Amino acid sequence: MAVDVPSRAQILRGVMAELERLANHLGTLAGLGGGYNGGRLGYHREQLCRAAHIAFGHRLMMDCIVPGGLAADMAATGPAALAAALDALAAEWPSLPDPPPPALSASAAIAWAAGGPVARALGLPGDARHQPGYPPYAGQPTGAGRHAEAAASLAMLRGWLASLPGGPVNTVLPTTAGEGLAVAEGPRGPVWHWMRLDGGLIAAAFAADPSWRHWAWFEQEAAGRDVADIPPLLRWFGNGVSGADL
Amino acid sequence: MIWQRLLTRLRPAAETLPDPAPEPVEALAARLDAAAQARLGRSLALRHVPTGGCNACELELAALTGVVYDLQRLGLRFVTDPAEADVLVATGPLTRAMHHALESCLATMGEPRWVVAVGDCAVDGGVFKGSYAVEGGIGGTVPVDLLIRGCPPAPAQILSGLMALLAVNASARPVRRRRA
Repeated sequence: MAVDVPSRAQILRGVMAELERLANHLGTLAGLGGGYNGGRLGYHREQLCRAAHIAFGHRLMMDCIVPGGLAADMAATGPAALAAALDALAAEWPSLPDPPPPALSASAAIAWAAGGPVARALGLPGDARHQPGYPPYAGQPTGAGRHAEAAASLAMLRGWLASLPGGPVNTVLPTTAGEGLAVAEGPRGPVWHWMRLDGGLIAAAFAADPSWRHWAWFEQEAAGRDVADIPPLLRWFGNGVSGADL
Repeated sequence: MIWQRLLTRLRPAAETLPDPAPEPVEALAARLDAAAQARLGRSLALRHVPTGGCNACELELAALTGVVYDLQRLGLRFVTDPAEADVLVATGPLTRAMHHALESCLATMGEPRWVVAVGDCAVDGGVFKGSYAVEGGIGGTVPVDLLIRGCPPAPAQILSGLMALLAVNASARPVRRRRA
């Protein structure tokens, strides 16, 4: 299905995706960091959510991206609000810590087809933003591991917001039938979507959360460890609890 | 013991105390009760049960514990042991896999207790309503005392709902009891 998403919508989709990733990584790092640094990371996560609410009308930007583009353009006050939150984070970023990774097995990660920042922190390749790749990530370094990825998201966001193209933010979708598979890199890893269209309507769909595979990997990694090591390991994985149930 | 010797040397021999007069004791107990309700009663332990949400409500709940909202300053805190909890906070449309976990969590909590449904999914299934994998909200499984709508509700909204529970708890009689 050939759909030409306007360039402004493509960049703003990237802005939302990276804001989400940054906010999630900050939240996870806050849980790992604890104390003063954890508090600061949580503070910046909240400021990003508030800026997203001003810019896109929803703290977590749910329902803001629709097939063909965006549900609505960014608010006129959005760029200033986002820039303020991002600049404050960038100023404090060098003093915020990079928590050391736990010892995890790369072969187990490969066996469970793990992805996302937890797998990349082990040096494993694979980031849907580059493989297979989709706009607007061409030529943008995305980092490996939560801390590096958060820094990369911060750089991408500031770059995009500094030179946003104008124009429309959505396009009309053709009425068609067919079946397709797509992947987007979420904060926890690749989110796969399968969908069947019939007469322009969704006949069937399935979305696969990365946590679905990561829980199996976590179980293998948790076996034999001290009980006290489990809570930090859980926070490090940051799995969603619902991905496996729905 | 050296400290016992020190104490006996430093303190003069204690006089035998008379029995306290009954009336002031009752009056003091009543005043203490009221003060304790106003202060100690303004404290609730929350047990979060993620009943299969998309994690948005969980993220916003987690934000409550951060420096911005800091729910501990209001006397609210999250606990891991349901037996310690006064409030069951559920997020998500209640997947079939979480049905038993939700029921057994509530069964472990002593009276009085409250159940709070946080987010549209926990209220009535939200966007997952009608799915074969969910029960469409927690209301069919546990009695719900407070609904906090939103997809997800902002931390400030969740906090104002929980503060309403605090107010109810502070004015409640008799003094809270826990099941051993």
